[in-house]
Amino acid sequence: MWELKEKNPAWPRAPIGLIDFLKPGFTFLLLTFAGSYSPGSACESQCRDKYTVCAELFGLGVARNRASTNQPSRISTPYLLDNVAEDKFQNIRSAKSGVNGKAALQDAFSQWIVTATYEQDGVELKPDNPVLTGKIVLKKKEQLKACEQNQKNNPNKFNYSFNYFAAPVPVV
Amino acid sequence: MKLNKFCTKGLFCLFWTAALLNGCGASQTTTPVNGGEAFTCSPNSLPNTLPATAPTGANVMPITVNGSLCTLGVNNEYQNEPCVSVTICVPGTSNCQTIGNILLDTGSYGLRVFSSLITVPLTPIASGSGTLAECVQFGDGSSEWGQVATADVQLGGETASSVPIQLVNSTFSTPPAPCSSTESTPDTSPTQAGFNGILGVGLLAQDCGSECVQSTGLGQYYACTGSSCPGTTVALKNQVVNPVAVLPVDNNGVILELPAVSANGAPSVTGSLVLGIGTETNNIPTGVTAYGAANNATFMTEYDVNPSLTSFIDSGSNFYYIPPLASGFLPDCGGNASGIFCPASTVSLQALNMSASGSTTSCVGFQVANADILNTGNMVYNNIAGDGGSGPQAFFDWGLPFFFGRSVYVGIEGKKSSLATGPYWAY
Repeated sequence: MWELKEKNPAWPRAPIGLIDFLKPGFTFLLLTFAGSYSPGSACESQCRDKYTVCAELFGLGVARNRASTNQPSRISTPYLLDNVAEDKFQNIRSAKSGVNGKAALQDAFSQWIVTATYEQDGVELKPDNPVLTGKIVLKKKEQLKACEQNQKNNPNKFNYSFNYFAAPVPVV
Repeated sequence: MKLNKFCTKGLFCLFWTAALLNGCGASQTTTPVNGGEAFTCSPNSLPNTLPATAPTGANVMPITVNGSLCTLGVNNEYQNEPCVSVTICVPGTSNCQTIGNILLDTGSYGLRVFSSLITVPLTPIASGSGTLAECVQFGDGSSEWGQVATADVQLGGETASSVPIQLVNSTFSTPPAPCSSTESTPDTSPTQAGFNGILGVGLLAQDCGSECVQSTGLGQYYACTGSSCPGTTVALKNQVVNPVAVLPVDNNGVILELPAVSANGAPSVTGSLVLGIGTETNNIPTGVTAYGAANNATFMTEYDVNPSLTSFIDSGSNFYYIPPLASGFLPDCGGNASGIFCPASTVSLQALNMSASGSTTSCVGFQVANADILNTGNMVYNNIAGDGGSGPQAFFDWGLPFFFGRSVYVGIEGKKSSLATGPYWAY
């Protein structure tokens, strides 16, 4: 790590916002959903019911309560994110089933730092507002495990996949 | 990487490199990119040859990049994290504690350990009517705050006696503004930081030096009494010190030796930190050139359209951090990898390193791959780069990928070796 010296004020700092989102470098949980979306599915409802998600989009100051919102019927993005995104991603809202979405969730105790990209037929969808990065607080991390188990128990019904990976976290 | 030896013109060199790399099993296609540089790499600087066998001896510390030494106590390693274990003792006693998952860092100076992990009774250094504390900031916006205490520090089989180290504790007393959320992101715990501590073995002997002896203007040292922590000057002997510089022997620098990594990455690699330069049979400089650094531990790099970027070689920076190419060939990944580059295909680039005086130069070839595509579960990569900024504040950070396949020498300021008098890097 490069130790900054104030005697050399020219030293750059991390790009604004970078450190907020990406440091430290915990293992990320990548949730992907491939195939058609199944609104109202057991896994879906389970997660919706149990997860109370408070999200704040950086730079937007938007806080939403995930549990109190309507079912987004259009998209396959992980349930943790699609509602956060919906009023900022009008073009995605209208997308058909079959859209792939992915989100990376960062476990920082009770806090999860989330980023996401949305793709359709392998092409990233560009929202009007590119800000889709924020902190999401999950009340109970264990419930994600429950959802994952639900997926495993119903491999033919749900098409969520759970993969753990490490995001390329900048450390300077 | 010896192929670069035959490259005499930039564009030809890039195509040549691309062709051979494709033949070496790289999973991504390699795109030659002609940067805006005016220099010609002839001959190109090559990674020097690593020792045929891993060095052994009291002056050798094992390193794992990710792997076993990075999972001791903390299980939240990040990519390209070089780790060592360090033993700290109550000065003059055998009351010691070994702590793993210590980030090996050539970009900082001194040992810092989270106080929550320390079980031996270390005595904080007094300052005025209170105790001495320090705030240091790092290039990614993080910071470490906490008291300064004295400990014996064992590096491999050698001991630096009674040296000031930092006990990182973000809640100690009242953190000053540079170590509070208003100006930085303080590291609050090993889990949050991703390491148990930092072993700074960079070019400088202390983490501040004479400026903190004379002035409080840098905002680095504080004298804390209760909840009050006014800034203070501090004698050199009480500043957090690069422990290598105060070893009884092998104290003129270190050598980092890490193996090459394939273009597809690896789960982990192992290497060595050798104490001393030319002081033992296992640290004789071979096939390397020294590049003198300025007093602030930087030298210069010409790259793309930037004729003289401030640059440094930092094992604690996990990737290359370089300005985006003016041509736009290094787009930001966006999403969860914001700040990291995701070129459409791997690009081969080159940069010209210059000693601070400009008298010694060498051209270095390197590659930047698409981090999103690479990110398939490995933890160690030699070809990921992030954004080093642009404009007057742009910098060129030769991060950990630079170390793979090389022996990199770190010459401490004021210390002589057969290569030069520090501060210098050699590779």
